[in-house]
Amino acid sequence: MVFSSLNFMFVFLPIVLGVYFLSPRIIKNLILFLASLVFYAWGEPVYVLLMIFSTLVDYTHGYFVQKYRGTRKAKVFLISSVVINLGVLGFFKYSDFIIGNINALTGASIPLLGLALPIGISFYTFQTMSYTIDVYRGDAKAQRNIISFGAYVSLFPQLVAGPIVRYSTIAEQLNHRRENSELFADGVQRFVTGLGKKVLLANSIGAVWTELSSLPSGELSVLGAWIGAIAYTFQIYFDFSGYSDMAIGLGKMFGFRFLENFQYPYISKSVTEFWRRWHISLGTWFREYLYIPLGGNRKGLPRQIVNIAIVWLCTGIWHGASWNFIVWGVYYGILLMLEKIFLLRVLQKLPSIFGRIYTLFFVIISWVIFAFDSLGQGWTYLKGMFGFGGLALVNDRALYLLLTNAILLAILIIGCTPLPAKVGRTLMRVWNDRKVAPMLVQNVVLAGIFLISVAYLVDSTYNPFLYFRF
Amino acid sequence: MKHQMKRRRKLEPRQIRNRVLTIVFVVLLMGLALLNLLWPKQSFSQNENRVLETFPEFSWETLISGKFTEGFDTYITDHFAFRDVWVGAKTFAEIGILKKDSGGVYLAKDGYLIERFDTLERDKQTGQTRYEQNLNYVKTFAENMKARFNIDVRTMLVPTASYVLSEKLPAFAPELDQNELIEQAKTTVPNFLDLRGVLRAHKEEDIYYRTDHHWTNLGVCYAYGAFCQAVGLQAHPPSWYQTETLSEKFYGTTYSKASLYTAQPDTITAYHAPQQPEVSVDYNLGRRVTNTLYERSHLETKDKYSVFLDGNQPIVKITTQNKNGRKLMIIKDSYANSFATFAVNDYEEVTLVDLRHYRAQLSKLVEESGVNEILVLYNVSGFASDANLFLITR
Repeated sequence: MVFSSLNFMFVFLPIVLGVYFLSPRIIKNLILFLASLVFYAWGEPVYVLLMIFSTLVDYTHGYFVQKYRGTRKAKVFLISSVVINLGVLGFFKYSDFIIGNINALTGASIPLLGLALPIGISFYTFQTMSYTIDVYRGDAKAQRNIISFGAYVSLFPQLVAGPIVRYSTIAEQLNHRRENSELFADGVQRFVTGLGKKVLLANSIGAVWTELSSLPSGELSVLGAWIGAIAYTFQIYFDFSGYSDMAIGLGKMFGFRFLENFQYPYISKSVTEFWRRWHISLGTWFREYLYIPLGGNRKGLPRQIVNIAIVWLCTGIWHGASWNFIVWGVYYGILLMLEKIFLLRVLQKLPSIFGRIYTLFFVIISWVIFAFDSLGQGWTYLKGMFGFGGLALVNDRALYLLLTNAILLAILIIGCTPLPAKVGRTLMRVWNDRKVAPMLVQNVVLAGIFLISVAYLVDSTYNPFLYFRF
Repeated sequence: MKHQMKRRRKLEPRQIRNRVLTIVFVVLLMGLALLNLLWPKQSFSQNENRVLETFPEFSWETLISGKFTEGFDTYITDHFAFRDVWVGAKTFAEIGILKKDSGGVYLAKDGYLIERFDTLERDKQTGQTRYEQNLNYVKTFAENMKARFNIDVRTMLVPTASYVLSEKLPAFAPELDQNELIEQAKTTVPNFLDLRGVLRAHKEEDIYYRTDHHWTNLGVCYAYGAFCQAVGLQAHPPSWYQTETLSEKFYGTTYSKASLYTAQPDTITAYHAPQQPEVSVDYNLGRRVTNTLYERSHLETKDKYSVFLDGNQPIVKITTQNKNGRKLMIIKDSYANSFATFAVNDYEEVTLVDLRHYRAQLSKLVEESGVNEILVLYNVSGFASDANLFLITR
């Protein structure tokens, strides 16, 4: 199930909210666990067993890691947990990719397994790994209650598209959270904002990208190629961050405080900064559980460069079992190394506008690599953007899309900056003592976004789910 | 106790705000959920002209395969309370942000909803367009007919509104060049009837419906005049005919696709010759015989264009009292249904064959029915995407 569906909003969520708040505290986690299993099973009836398997495996491993803490046995259980998690992820996500490449290299014809990728597997296996590692390091106590642990692993708000909630950040809340109206209202605001970002903004601009990227060769123009790349750049941000907003919002309704996942990435002045603002939970995960254990920056520049290379190869692979994601990861790895070595110092001396343009330019290019499974297609598209594809400079389609999406693009540009939030905060501060005005504005804006989003979902000819490869 | 009461009275504006927001959200969520639970379920959407999803069958198999949940999702979306209002509201929101098309339809000037025609289907292997393939089938067909029966096959590919009314399209609308397509047809197919001139000459008149992708009978009237000149019949101007208003409440296909529910309805007009010939209309080789070209029961439904010869039937044979020996066969799409109501004035027999539904061997039909004129009549857009034209060579 996805949040941006009528079924989630008007069948699943009302029932779960109702049952959850009417239930005594002692069974609230059980309610969440069961609801999450239904949520997951809705799209993946069979793979729910895999999730239960994951839950049981990591629960027992956490138990033994804690029991044998400080001994070699703890390490054995830790390694066993990591191997099982990566094994599950590797088997379901990368088998066919590896077989395909072996076939291509050796001329063998090993049949592909053709397994459907379990939704969210990359997210929840990373979460369960964080659990055993946190317990091993003593950053968190092992969870005694298997229901509470199951609720953590399967928690439906962040199950299918993150954020990746590290166990240590949420351990306390699992058993001792308190829902309240302030948190709930915050959650509503976040959920509705995220819904609007996904349904109204991401889907609308996504249609532009779909139209342009699927044109037969020769019907694209240079301007059109750029509009397409920029459209996809907007789509992936508003889709992904909208999804994170909805997750964080839903979490708040149930009393959880998840960490932020996006922090206006497109206003960054360097690629380094971009990755501190984009998909923060993933970056943090790799830093905490891979980069720092490898030695991070504490062992000299050469070793740091190697560490960056390893982390970004893994980041690329994590995003999907296809060569373009590996190229995409390597691309960022190289950019980040260059920034570490000298570029960051150069950028700091220049006016910040240079940094912003430079960052956006390389980010847009990166999304083109990201968007095409086939490296050949991506390369053709990139060449087209830079006038090496024999394309017309402009054509009717490019101008038509630019004109008919002008307002949408303006909204998207403003939406990428902290401006809307700032205006909202300023208004609320100015009106702090007034009762009616802020209430009216807040409710009208949010109810408006909510209702228009419903209208878009009722007429949902285009409502893609972008994370089926993660 | 006293302390608590005091605190209750002094809620800060912020706290009140939070509670109100929570209540508004919960009421919207639960309210819409309840409304949908109680909402009467329909099986057919008139506005969208399609059958709505039924409640999915529940069984262990459908559950495991995911068919149940998938069907359930569609069911909820299809039967959402006030569905038309939501869908219509979305269109307005899009117009509000300067969108000029909706559901594959341009929101053109003067209330015209014009179907987009901006890409050609291509064969994945050869890269050849389906349009070109179809032209070649027609060419082969024409050559065969000439050789075997000495019949001249004429071809009429009607340009669509997006070409004839191109001035009404939004700025920079990325349409295909129908000029190029028709030039291509002219050079490939023998006896091609070019309608560009005659239709463009009357582009200020209502020759296309505003809410449907078909041409109106006025448009057909002009085109039929051009056809008559080509085959040596006398052409008549619209004023020669007696007109009859069949419906003033026609909301057609582009209306359904664009879901612009404030659009004004079209009028369907029939054109009768001063002396109307009596007709016998035989549907599908004797399955049903009537004595009228108009199936007026369709005027009570959404799909009013089907009033002409009962919509798209596999094969319709119209016999008239014009004992002149002229027997016309039209290989066609729906553009020909209204065209036939003109042709009956000049022919003894008019046979309509729709290759999307007629699967028997065509050359045998030509031989047995004794026709002596053949017309291939499609609209350009339909012709470019039709996957059944290979049947014409059989």
